[in-house]
Amino acid sequence: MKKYIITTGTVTYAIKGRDTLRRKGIKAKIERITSGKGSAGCGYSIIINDSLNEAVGILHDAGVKILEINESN
Amino acid sequence: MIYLDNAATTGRKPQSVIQAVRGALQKYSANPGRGGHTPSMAASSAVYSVREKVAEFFGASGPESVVFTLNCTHSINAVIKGLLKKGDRVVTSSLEHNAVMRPFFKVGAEVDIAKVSLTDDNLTLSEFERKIRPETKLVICTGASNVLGKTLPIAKIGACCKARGVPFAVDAAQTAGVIPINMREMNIDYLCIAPHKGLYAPMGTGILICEKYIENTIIEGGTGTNSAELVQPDFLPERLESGTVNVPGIIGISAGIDYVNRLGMKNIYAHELELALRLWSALDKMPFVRLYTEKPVSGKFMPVLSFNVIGKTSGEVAEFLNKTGVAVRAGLHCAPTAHRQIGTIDTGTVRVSPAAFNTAYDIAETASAIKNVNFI
Repeated sequence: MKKYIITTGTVTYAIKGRDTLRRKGIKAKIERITSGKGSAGCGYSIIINDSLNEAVGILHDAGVKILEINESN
Repeated sequence: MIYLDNAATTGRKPQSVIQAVRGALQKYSANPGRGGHTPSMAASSAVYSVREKVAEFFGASGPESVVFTLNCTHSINAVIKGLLKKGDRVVTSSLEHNAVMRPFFKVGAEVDIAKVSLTDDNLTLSEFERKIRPETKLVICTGASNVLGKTLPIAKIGACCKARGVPFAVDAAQTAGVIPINMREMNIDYLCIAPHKGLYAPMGTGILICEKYIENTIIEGGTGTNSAELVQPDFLPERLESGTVNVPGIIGISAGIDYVNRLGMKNIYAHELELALRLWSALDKMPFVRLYTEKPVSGKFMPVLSFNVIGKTSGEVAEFLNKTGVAVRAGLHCAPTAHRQIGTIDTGTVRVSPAAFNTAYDIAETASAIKNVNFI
């Protein structure tokens, strides 16, 4: 299953984003990011499996700051 | 003991707050915003839900603007030292606490003081309008004096600041939880809160709500985010919230807000003001008492009274009352500017400040005890 990793950095934005998406009917969960090569270090991401464009729009409207978006299978 | 020093901290925490704090120690002893494991995420969610509640209670834009601090003084320091540098001009009132005045001194700010009228809010507003200059970097003032109980016309000062394009910060140590505060409607950019007072939360808790960015931080460290970088993250609340937050205290804040909502802020304020008025009326009839607080009028005063007994020091009076079972505070109350205005910088005052749990009996007993002060 396709997985979109929307990195917010902070747990506050991650929870706000997850809760906002869920209220709009998009399944979302939070994962902890640990340091990786080229990354800024630890943080949190919102994980969704579909509706990426819609989700990004919703998060933007809610004022959730997105640091980066990655895709994995 | 009759506890009437609630302007310092509310002396009786509700059972619901005590139970919430105890429950948090049992349920949430994991570091929020750090780990990805279930207990850490549970603590993160619990803290987040309190941010939401606080934001809603004070009319803030969202949970991310709610920063948990050690106390209201910490919040005020974060604003003043975060925004001002040596030589910057700042406008404040004549009734400020040292939580405001000492950071000004430390920073080396040029302070313009707007004199607060104890009887006419329009005069106070005019003073602020006159003192704000094009080069003013910040206006910060108390919501109400911790010595005299006088409220400031915050909404009007906020409107003035907005019109002039000057950031506006409020020290809500005495007002949060007792009278309504809506940051959006009052044009407040930074709200500094002492939850252990009017919100009945544990001591060692503080809140800073930021609707605008703060350039400089006063504490740096771990935030659980961007850990590979040496600079603080540029987003709130983490930018201003380094180190592990006081999770049991934060859960206590939540229970405190529930308590205030359950009783009703209007009811609490009416009850406290009624008690203050009863004492004021009793003291007004005692010829040996000098009252410094005007007759407490709803909307214009908080339930805080200052007085002295002629021929006694404020310390002697407080000590006598303590021995008779009444806890009040004497001295300058960390607010020398207010005492300079009323001429009590050398003597201080005795301060009485009732809370929701106090009763008419408490006030009658206190008045009766004060009658006997002259016999010491």
